Amino acid sequence: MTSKAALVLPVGADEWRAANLAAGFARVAEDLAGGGFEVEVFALPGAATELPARVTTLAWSDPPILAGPAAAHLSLSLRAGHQLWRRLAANPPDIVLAPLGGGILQPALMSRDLGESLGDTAMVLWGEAGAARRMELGDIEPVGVEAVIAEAMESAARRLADATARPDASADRPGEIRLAFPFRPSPRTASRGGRTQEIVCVGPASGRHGADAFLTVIERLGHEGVLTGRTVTFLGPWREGTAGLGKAMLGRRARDWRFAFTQVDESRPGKVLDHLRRPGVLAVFPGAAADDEVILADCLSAGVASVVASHHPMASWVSGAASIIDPDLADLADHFDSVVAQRPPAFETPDWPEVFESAIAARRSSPVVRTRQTRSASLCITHRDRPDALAAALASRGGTAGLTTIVVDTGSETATLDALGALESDDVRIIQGSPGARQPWARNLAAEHAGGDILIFLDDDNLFIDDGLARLVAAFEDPRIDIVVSTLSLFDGAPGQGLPAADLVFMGEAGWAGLLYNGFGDANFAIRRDRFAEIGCFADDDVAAFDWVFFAKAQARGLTIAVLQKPAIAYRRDLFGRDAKWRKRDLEGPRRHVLRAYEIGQTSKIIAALGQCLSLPFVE
Amino acid sequence: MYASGASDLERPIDGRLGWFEGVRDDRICGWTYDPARPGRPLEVTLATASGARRSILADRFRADLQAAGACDGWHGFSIPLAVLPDAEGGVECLWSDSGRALSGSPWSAPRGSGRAFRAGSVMLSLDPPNPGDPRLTGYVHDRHEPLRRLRLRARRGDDFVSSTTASLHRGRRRGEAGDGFHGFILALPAPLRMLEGGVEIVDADSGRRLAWLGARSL
Repeated sequence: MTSKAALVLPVGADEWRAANLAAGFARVAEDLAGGGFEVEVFALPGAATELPARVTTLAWSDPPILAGPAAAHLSLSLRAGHQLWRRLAANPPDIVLAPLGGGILQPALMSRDLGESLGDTAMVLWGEAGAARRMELGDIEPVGVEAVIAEAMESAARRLADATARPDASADRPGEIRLAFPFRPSPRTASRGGRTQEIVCVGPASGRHGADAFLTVIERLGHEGVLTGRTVTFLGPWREGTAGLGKAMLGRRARDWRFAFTQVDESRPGKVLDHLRRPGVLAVFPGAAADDEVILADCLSAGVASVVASHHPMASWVSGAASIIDPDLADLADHFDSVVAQRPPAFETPDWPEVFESAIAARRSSPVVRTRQTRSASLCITHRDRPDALAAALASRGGTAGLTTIVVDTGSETATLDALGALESDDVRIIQGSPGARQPWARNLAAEHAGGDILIFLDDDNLFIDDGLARLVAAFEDPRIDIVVSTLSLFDGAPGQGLPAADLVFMGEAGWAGLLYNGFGDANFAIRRDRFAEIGCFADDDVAAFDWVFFAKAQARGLTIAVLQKPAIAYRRDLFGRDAKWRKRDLEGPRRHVLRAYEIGQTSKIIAALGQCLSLPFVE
Repeated sequence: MYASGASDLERPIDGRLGWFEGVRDDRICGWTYDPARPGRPLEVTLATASGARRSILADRFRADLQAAGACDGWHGFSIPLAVLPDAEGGVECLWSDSGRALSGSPWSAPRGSGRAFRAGSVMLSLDPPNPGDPRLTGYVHDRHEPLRRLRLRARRGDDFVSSTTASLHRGRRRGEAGDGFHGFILALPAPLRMLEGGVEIVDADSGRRLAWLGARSL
């Protein structure tokens, strides 16, 4: 039977990375098709490059996907990842290959881990540098929450994926497999001797691509007079309007240079290769994590004289075809006097179809840990003066076995209380709480009276959809899972009636992003009863976003927070009244509690700096 | 970044030093420093005429401040222009606690469209100056030698005032050719409109005069 493979191109603004992966994945697709696979290459909304032929562009489908209060472009990888899950879950492939960077496979992996969908689909990450490494090397400027969201999603994706493929993978790193893009021989440029006329630094302006080391060494060589009569070219997209490595910095440093230089914005591998094939060119690949495997391989195959830093991921593969030098490029000038194309590279040629078949077989044979033991569950609802909404919420429970329901009323009118009496039954218990009690207090009271192993919390104006309650409870068959949240279907009118306005997606394990906004989940969620007690219930002080604080405590204690991608809950959104609720707009109070939960300690200076760096909304 | 206002290190306001540089390269920049408490970064508030406000901490390193004696130099601030709505129309910079304005505040956008000069194959365009800014900024490009970064000198009479190499990057503007790395900033002893006798811009390699600027030239 033909196996189906899905290859996923990255989202985001890094056009160099996007061009490299688009070209590399196109070659993988060719090899897989030659090996009998049915292959589909997906570009998600927001792809930053010209796409090769036969790529399926995934449009945003309805309902629209939202991801919390951050600006939409900052959570692009989360929203695009959920869009990808929608597509994959509707038509599951046998295997998926997607970039690690941005963590776009996280929603699909979360869903598979919960047993919700994609159970037979193997998932492999392309192990490029993640957000933390990119930021460390100056590749990402800390100007938004994008990087922390990406880091959290990458971290979960790495943990949940079947394998991570890297050209420089070694046996001592578990979960990694050694793979490079398929090699394609190019017509060779005639070998030539003679003087280097142009030294080309290949790649964008970032430490990850070695641009800083290159600048340092050419400035030294310029002082020594070695560059007289030669041109230094920076070939790749250089950033504008940014601090650090970028065009502004290049121009400022160049004021002291006495050699010719230029910079060429180009990312397309074919155009980059055209430039490098010109006579007298020495190509320099100084990066440690450079996203340039395709360009480097083509360059060597074409016989372009090249220098590769020894920390480059492909260095061990290209040895003999290029000059390998130290990362500080100290010996760069030794390669100027004789530009000689070296011998063709002798790449290992990975058998992608065989690797993919093995990954699929391993996935199918791996045991899925599930406890079939029936668990009791308690639904905890807080209520005040909305008997019709409460009746709808109760009706949405479906026929979940072993379920008891606790409703805590916090001061309804007498007429409402009469209506509530009609809703009481053997499995629905109504408790009178203090009139006007805060929601966390009422929830804690409900939990106190609940006897189930699993506690499910629901606001009385929301309801379950598509067997949502049963799906929330079923997720706990996996003994590793402590908390289950869900994508919310947002309704601007009565929940569950008509089409939703949008789906609001969450990360579950939000990592450090959870420090900045509630990316964990919503107040409607399920948790093991013993874990709830361990965390210390809901904070009962006057906290607006008590759910955010609760999840932060759970995260700090290492609890597993999983997300159902398919919405389990219809959520009534009060779009027009939101501005009147000042407590919803005040992020400072909840953040103090969240910080305490993360146990960060003295934080005022850190938060002031973060607020400045991340352009967070300033609340006066 | 230039240490504009560095001489104001000697002119404190409320015991504090600072200079608001306004908008440079699409960022809002400046610095502030309290000599009595050199380790403590100060907070400033940026405000626009439309009512937008933004408070930021002056805790970014600037080598020019360090060189000018501002403790360890970690007293600059610089935020993207886009963060403050309507900043193009003018920005005021205040110390957040006292509400007093920093020297250099308010900043208002330069007016006018600048001027272009031609000398042989060399095209020189000068930007309209920032009010009170003792610098000339612009773009110079040799059509016959596209990779040549011209060395410029400013001359008053027989005295050379300053020199620079035109290699700064700026987003390409109408009529400006080359690879974008032909921008320059040329320091003057005072704002152009205050310079008696004008100033001459010269190609330092050939000695050719590229432009002569009087007090009202820009």
